[in-house]
Amino acid sequence: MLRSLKHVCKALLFTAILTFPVSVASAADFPNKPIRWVLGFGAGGASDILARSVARGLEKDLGVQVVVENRPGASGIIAAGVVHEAPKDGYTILLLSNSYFNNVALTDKFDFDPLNFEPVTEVAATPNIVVVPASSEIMSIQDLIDAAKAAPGKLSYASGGVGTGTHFGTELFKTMTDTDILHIPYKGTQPALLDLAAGRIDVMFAGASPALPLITAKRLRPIAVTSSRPAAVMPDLPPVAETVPGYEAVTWYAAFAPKGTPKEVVDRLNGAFKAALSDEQVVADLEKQAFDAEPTTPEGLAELLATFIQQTKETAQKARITLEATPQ
Amino acid sequence: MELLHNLFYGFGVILDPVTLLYCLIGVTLGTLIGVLPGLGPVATISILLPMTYYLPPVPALIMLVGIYYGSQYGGSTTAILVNIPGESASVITCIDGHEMAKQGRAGAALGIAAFGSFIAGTFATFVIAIFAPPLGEFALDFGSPEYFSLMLLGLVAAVVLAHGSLIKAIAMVLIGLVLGIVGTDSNSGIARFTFGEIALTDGVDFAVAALGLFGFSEVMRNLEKSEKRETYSTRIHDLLPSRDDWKRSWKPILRGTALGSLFGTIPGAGATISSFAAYTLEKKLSHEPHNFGHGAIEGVAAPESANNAAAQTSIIPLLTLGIPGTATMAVMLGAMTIVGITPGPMVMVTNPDLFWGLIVSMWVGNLFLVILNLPLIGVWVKLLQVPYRLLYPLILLVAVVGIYSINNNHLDVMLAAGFGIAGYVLHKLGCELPPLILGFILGPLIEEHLRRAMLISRGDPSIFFTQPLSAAFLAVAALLILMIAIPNLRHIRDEAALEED
Amino acid sequence: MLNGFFRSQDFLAGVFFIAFGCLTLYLSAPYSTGTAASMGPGLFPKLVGYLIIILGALTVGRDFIKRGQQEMARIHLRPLFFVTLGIFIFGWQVDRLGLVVSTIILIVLARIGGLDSQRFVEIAVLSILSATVVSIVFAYGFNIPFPIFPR
Repeated sequence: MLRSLKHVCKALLFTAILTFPVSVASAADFPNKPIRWVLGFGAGGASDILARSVARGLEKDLGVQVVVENRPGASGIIAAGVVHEAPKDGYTILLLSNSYFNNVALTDKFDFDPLNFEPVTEVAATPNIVVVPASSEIMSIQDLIDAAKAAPGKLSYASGGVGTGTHFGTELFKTMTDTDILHIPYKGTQPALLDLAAGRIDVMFAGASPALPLITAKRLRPIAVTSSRPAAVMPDLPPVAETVPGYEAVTWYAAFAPKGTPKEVVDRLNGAFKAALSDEQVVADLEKQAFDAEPTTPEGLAELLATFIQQTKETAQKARITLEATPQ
Repeated sequence: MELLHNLFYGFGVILDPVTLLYCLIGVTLGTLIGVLPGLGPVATISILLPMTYYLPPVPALIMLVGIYYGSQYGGSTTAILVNIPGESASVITCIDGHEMAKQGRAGAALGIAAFGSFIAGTFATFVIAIFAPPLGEFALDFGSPEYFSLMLLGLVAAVVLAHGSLIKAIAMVLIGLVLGIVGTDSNSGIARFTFGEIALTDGVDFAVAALGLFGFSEVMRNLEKSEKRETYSTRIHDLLPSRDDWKRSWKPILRGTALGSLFGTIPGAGATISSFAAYTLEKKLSHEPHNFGHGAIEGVAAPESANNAAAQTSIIPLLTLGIPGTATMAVMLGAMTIVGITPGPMVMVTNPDLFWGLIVSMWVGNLFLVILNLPLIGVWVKLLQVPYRLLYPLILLVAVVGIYSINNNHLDVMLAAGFGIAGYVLHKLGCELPPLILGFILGPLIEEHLRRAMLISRGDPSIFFTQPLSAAFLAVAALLILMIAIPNLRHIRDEAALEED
Repeated sequence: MLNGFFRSQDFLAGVFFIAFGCLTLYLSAPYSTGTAASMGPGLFPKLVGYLIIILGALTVGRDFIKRGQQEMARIHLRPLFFVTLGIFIFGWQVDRLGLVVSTIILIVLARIGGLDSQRFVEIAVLSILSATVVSIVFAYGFNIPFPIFPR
């Protein structure tokens, strides 16, 4: 009994030593072990499917396993916290969406520096679609502006939650067109779409993927897309920018590594993403979820971030959006 | 006749040996994860989601949906055996189911749960086949006023669940409400009661609260008297429901099935609401309501049938509107888009093999579940014969690992430890926990829908009375309050009269 | 006599309710109440907080009239402390100590919490066996990102 226990102990110790992370990560032989990709999204959603498709492309290019790890919650802040503490060797990377950066712009609920990451690349983007109930008399963005101007505060719009892209996209529209539309927040896009289809709400700037079934079922009418160019999902739909010049609000996803990861490793990862995002199978998978692959350089992503946070702050200020408790 | 033709078509799809095998794998896996607390169908389906890339679409989706209703079967097993509700719908099953197990009647409880679920599953299959489109419209009828009134009715019903003091039960519901609204307020985006902890901004997960309040505190209570009780129940009689059990149960099963089939189509909290609506109804209809809470088999039969029926009809909004009503259905939607199917009313036309195959597979899967679970009952009951000193560390371990796996977050485990203390102490104070957990589930929904309804109506509360469905729910709630209050008032009056004498 | 009253179940429950209600009110003080058309995040918790206090007072009052009928059941500190400690340490340390060590700690503490904690061999076998099984099933089978060994 005791002898066999000793053996077990030895074996345990041996395995422990073997699996102990070897911290001398030289950039030259990167990668030589599995990569952890931490997501701020729950398993099974569109964002999760996006990551898992891209991960399979990454595996092809990097030749090692890419393990997707879900750490859902708080718009990605929890996942970011995990990666923030990780070794700076490129074996732990992060996927975030613009919701995280809305929080960066508007709150101080972080207990670490929220921008303390190395940008790797933008991954994908998906446009929002402006939808109205099928019975609505609003046929175009111009109709929407006219109706809102005729009766300020009488129209209402749905969002998937305060601080999400569906909220900010509409607030940006309101400030650019100087209209007054009442915000009705929901817990996620799906219940919002149901109320919209039932005609209780007038309009929503909804994610393309969740809105599609109701559009094909002819319960919702699409009137525009929020990307600056017509989108692949519905090529006939005009961009909002045709009526409101300069308007653009898409949902995007980007990959990051811990701050201090060697430049060569970041570049290697960037190259792998570029290869994965041009892989035919990956692109086809993304298209099914209405995502467009949008790889950038690390510098390109850094620029995008700076502009985005600036714009969010401006919109929030104009629309008087806060995410902090205000004692009365 | 067209229905028969369609069902035969569906049988044609499912009777393919490969499809049949995947259906079997799905329900078996579902039973397994249902039995393990914390591990839910959402996580499991998500993990298996990548498989849909490699499998043909119809067998893949049949397997995934099998995991879902299979887990509902498994969930009741844990509830009955060790008083741990794996998901919200089995909270109710704990009340009388575990009491039966303590009395050595675990076999009868498990048996009636299995048969009840099978009957409910069969009925729900037909409901989906015949009424899917109109029931889809029913889901659209539910706006915030309707939700608010229904949830209020639910809370009133929650008070009926209690068998002790009414005042304490109401207080417990309200404490549950407060715990339930921890996290980000969906109307303002402000994080409430989070003490600056980021992990709390999404609120406390149901399983964290339930496993702590019920599971951990139950273990601690059992340890007080472990010298007396070597095992859970020393004697076992009847491995299967007796003739008398059947006589008591068949009506509750049918009523539970009907309630579950209807409520399951309401996006959001359909399965939970239906399981305790069914329980409340049986308690009110029963000639011996005092038996409820002390091992009444009707208290297992009705909610189990209701939640299984609801689990199945919850697919209706997805199939008819393309809108998932539950978290599990949201993952199913993901699976459908992966295989290139846009869910919605067109599925019936564009993918009839999927639509009818899926529906018939539910019935076949339910058959598998009964065949699978009946022999398992013997195994489960044997498990209760394992010395408790070996069993309870394993219960704790499985629960703890399950809690961790919900969000892969260690803080949830620490939080559950706190809920364990709360559950233990509250029990000592004579406060019942089921009302608290129902307040916990319904509280945030009530607040959300109240505030949204008022936002939409621009502050006019008459919206709750002018909407017919909402008004009806409020009327039933008022009726229930009267039914609770009158016996109490009479009681007080009688006592006063006695004192005057 | 007074002592008996303070150990009465309903009295203590009522005091707990009042305390919980007060805590709720205190914590929701920073949140705005809003208007009927746009209710603030503070309205609902404040309302519920007051209701809990009232119900707590009713419970205490009723108990006072009935003169503390039922004494509170005894709290057994040993299982309460050790089982909770085991779970707490598991949660606190599993990301650092790994699944195997945390499992062993949980099981040993849980067994100390119960009676019968002297069977050392049984406890050792039980904890090592379950650590192995749980590592295989959950970390590999269900792919839950636990570290298995200390890091």
